[in-house]
Amino acid sequence: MTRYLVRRIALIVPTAFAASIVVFLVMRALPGDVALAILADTPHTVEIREALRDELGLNDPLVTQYLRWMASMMSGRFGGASLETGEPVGTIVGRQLSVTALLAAYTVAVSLLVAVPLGVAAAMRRGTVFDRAVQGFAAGSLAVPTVFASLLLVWVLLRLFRWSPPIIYSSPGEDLLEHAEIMIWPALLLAAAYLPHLLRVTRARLIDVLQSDYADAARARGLSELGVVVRHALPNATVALITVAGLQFGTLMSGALVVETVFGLPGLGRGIVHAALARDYPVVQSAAVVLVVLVLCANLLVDLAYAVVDPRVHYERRAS
Amino acid sequence: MHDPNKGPEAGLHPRRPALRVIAAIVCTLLVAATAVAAAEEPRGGGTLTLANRGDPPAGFDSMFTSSIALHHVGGALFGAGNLVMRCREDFYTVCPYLALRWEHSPDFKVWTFVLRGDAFWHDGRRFTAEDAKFWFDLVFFGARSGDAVRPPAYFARELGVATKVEALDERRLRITFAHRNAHFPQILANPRFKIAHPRHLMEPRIQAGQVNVSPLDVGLVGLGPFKLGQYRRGSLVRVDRFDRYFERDPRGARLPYLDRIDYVIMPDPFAMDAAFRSGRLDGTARGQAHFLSRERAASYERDLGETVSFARSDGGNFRLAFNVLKEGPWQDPRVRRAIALWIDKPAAIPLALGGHGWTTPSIGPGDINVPTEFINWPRYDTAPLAERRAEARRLMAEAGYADGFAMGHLTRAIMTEGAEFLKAQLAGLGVDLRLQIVDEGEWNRARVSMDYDSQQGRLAPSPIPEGTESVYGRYELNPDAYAKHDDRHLDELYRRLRESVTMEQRIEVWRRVSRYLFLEQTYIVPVAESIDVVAYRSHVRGIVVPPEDMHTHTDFATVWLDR
Amino acid sequence: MRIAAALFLAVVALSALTASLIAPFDPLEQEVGRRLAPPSATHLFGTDGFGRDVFSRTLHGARVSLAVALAAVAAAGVIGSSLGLASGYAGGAFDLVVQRVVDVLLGFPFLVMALIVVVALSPAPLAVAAAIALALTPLVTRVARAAALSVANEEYLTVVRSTGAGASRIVLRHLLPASAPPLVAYLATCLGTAIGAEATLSFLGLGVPPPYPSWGRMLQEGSRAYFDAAPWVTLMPGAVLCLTVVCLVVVGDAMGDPRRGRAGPIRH
Repeated sequence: MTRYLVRRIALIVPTAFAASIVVFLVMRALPGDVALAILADTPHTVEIREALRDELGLNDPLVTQYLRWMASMMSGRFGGASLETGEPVGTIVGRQLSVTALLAAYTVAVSLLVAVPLGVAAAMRRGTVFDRAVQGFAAGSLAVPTVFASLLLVWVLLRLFRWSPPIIYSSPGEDLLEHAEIMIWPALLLAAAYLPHLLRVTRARLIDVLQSDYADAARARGLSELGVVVRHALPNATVALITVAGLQFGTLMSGALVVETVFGLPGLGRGIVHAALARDYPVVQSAAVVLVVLVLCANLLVDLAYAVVDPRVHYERRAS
Repeated sequence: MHDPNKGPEAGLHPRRPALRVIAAIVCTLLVAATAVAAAEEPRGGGTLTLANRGDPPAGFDSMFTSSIALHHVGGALFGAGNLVMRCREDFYTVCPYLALRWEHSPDFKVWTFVLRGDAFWHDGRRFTAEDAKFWFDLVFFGARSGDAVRPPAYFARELGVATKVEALDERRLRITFAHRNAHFPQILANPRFKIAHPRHLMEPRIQAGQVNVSPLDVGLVGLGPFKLGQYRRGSLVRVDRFDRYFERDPRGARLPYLDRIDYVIMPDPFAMDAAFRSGRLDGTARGQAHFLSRERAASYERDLGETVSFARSDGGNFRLAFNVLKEGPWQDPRVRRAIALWIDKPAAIPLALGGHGWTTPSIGPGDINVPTEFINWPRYDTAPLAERRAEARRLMAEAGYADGFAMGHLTRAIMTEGAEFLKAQLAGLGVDLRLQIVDEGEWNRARVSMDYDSQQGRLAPSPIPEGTESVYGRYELNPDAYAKHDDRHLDELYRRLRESVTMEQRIEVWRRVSRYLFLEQTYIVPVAESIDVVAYRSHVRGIVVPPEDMHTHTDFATVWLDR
Repeated sequence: MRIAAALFLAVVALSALTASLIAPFDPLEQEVGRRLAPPSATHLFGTDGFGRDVFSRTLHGARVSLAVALAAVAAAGVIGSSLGLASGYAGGAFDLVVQRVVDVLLGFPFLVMALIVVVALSPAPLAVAAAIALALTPLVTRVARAAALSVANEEYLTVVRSTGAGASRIVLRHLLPASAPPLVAYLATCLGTAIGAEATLSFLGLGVPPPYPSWGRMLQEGSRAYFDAAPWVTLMPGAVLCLTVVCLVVVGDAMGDPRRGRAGPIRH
């Protein structure tokens, strides 16, 4: 177990490196030129453009550029500065991540609060109208693209209540109420896309467990149905829940771009796409590596969760 | 020009030069009346909340970008003009701003400006002739430190070819040109040319090698009526009243009236609509997708009735421009002419321009306040559409393309309406317009490259014809030109334009340029002109709405809130 | 319910195939005179800002949206299932490497990856499909691996293995059929995801290029300029899109495990 753990943690580093190379190369494969984006409307000579490219280090060999970026990542400078604005990448990503992380946290919280009780209830009343309604809700919620849902929500709030969410983002430290007022809508919209996955897996796992032999055994020992759920089924479902939560991380980030744009949140989803469109290489590269590392860590936690919850998992076999 | 009591259909249609003059007079009277009427006495204080399309790019550097996202904020931070400005009451006249008066040598080569002594940077430093010299030097010559080179401002050529800028003393600045520059103050009075470059903060950094230091790098210290309060990237630019701002209103009260302007960054126009209609905004953003279409303006009115009003201003030009340096049938002027004749231009207004526009392109003399008759686009082709289309077919056949051909069309992914319109139009002529859709990153590269056949190019109207060289001139000198050509005749025409001494000469040359571009060579097909519409709540008073180019004319010093 | 869903999907698929025959209007024909007309007998779904018939565009849009989604899911399905099954069955270093690659792909935000693919290949239906396939492949790989793992540990495979059957035979004859139901169910859901993903790409202007319609594009076109004045331009294709995705989920669930009505693609 310990050996496995050490190996997995050690693996994060080369994986992150591999990811950084992929991200780096992919960004450079894009057509476009950040020097031209910076010079914008300026009628520049070739000499000036090349001087700028030199200054930005874009004329160096790719290997040099990569190593410089990596050195900067390692030294804690986090990839240097944005080519577009000169702001340190660490500051940019930190600022944007703080918004998106909160948004993601709210989304996951809302999703769990809705998905787990509903999933459990549906599983316990399997085949009833209630169960069908829950399943229908999950399917329907899954079906509306976040782009469309955001639009509808803003429109409905406006037409019915002549109200729209606040327009200036406040952090919870500044104004908790404003923060809640602006964040609740994007969080609900993201949850609508995210929770069906959790709901469906909770229901499915619970049905599995409730039909299993050892659930019968527990019942035979006189445990109530609720007892079976709480003592056996839920812990079992937790692993699956965490897995799905990790798998759907990408959904969350894509949705974040949309809601961050619509609700004017200065988050990472919007930031990373903006940087990609501006060919602001260091920002995209560093932000993407951060996200990859986050997911790697999350996956490690998932695997650990397997071990805690499901002792049958044999690490040595899986890892060797 | 902004009349709070009128709906979106009212307001100014600056179709003809004569109309513009009348409009200017009416406007002057209105402003005068406003100043006299006691009930209309401006009140101080309050916060104005406006939407802004995005974060200002290029570190707020007005020498590098002409983005509306910068100008909307820049008017408050950096002021309504530079040494000179376009008068608030009469857009086509030059008024003093940081300079009190100016004079020129008899040959129009040397211009001397006398600066006012009571202008201050936001950090308290007095604005002197040395500061002005620093700014003009950066504009004309850029900067150099070791290997690092800062290019001249993108508008350097528009101002003319300067040889020398000198600070004669604290208050006097002298600029020497290589050529006659008879209309220099008028050219300079364009608020695109904002002074956002404090010498005392920037010069040390440039000398230290940071040649591309931006206004944002030095804290956005400007000379305008508002100073930076807070900038939260991606969310808000907050500016606060600058107490030592030099301008005063006709009653002698200090400007600006407002305490604060919040520019809320709202990239999504639909969300902006909702925020405005629910009362969270006092004004909408400026910019292509954010300007109001007829339908959106109607929704605003339905919700807000009397409490919303619309500012309308001559907007950009919707054009089709050819890259004649690239091999293809469009290198034949007859083909380009056929395409120009074929397009049903009035249809572009509802289909591609959101319902606000007209079909008389009015760059040039129409804009320089001379009520002379000028040959504009439709008058080149006054025949009915059917006849024009028959002629177009004939020209195509004559050029050997009776069966049509395919032509690429560089299209920005974020706005495709114009391209969709052109594609549908040209299909009838047998021209298969292949949309080459690019994201913003690629657009920045491709439009200054040779890698396309045609593009649109939306030019904000320029009140001076000299300003059009950067988009109509020869590729070698103007890489961002919409039509890529290597026609030296245009060099000559623009040189004559710059050196014209009298207004009559200027108009004469501009007529030549326009006729040559649009008719004889048809490097560019003017399709239609848009009108930009911005909504304000009716309690927003005193806004200066220019008859054209709301894009850059963003002056909030005289705005006050009536609530 | 399942039958209704399947029927609806059949109708959508059929109208996509025959769009050019049954569409009452040319989906590209612009007409100033009939801009933004509300739904009527002539124009069932009304007309858009170019005066184009929204119903005809929805029919033609089905063609593009479904083709893009099918292509993306087919690619992701083939690549993802092979990698996942092999990874689950073989285990060891191969498994480890594949799973770390999947980790990386999952961590990379889908939209940025899709944007890069679409921009690099220039927006075209095939590029959009490739971008979506790239986003779906890691998910399918994970699901296939999980399915393979759950089957691989079953008793009978041990028996088969002891008879000396080769690995490829075991994977093809035993592992694949046994893992198929959850995989197929998951792929059906993926179809829905792909249709939605095209809409999200269109949000950035990088979906299927204009003027030929796709559902995602249509959602985007109507929404900014005249959602309020002419909601049908957005709502009609939007409703069809959502209904189609719902039906795909319902049918997918039914295919996944009709006996037990088990929902949810993920089992480990």
